[in-house]
Amino acid sequence: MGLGIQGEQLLRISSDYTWVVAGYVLCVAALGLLGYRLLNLPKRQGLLVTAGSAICGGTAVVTLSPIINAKPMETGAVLGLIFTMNAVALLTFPAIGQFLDLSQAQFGIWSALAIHDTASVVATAQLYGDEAAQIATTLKLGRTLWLIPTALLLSVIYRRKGRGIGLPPFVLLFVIASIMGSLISLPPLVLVSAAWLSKALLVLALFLIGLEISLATLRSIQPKLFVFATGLWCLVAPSALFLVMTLVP
Amino acid sequence: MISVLGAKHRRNRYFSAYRALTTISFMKFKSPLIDTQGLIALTVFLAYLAFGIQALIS
Repeated sequence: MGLGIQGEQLLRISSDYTWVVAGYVLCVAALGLLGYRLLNLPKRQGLLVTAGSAICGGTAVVTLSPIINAKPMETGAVLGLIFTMNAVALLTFPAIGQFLDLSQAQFGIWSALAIHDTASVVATAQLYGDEAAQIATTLKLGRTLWLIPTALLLSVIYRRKGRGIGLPPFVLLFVIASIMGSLISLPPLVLVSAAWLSKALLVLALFLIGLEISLATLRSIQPKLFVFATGLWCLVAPSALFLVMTLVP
Repeated sequence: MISVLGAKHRRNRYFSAYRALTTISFMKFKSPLIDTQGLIALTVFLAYLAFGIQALIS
């Protein structure tokens, strides 16, 4: 998909909405930190759900788990919950978008803000349209970058060397592909083949997302954790939708 | 024999000085919390924010 987005377009979309993304990430983080204390959840699980909801779902959970010394069971339960919410978003968001007659830009921005994982954001937006998918992917990668200061901050708090804090590889590859697409005039056959390949890989990614959800993982989720994660999502996803419908034409 | 020992002594002295200097410079620049990869990632994040500020101002 990166090959199909011009570097200038990538820069314009991401810089135009940097502050919308920043506002969303900070608000969700504040609500999450308040919520897990109100529900008296274990701190590590509260932090993982908050980071996953605010920044980048599974990527955030996997990156932050070793920094905050989360146990494998805690990480597994949070990941299971996040993958389930991704699947729910994938099934419901396009229908909601069509029901509310959202434009491609509105749906792309809403998906990038309200869905947890990058693969699910891209897949859901792709179901709505190519333009929505390009906008959603660009904004979601910007949202993913918030993982960097978060990991560094938690490294300072937990006094652990933040080894492995780096750019997620998919962000780097997407930017490189976009720069390549802008600088080199690629033959149409290559662009069509790349677009076909990206859709095929997306189907594979969806299959793998489905494989991540198992009954055993779902059973390991405590009711309190379920209430917290879904409650946070049910609060922020409609708020993001309202914001997008009000601000974006 | 004396000149050989002298040369060895001088070589050891230079090596010690070199080792001391490199140790000091590593101690000076090595952060306890962030490695080179993290530093690059942080720079990218700050550049992303800078583009956002530029877009907001203009």
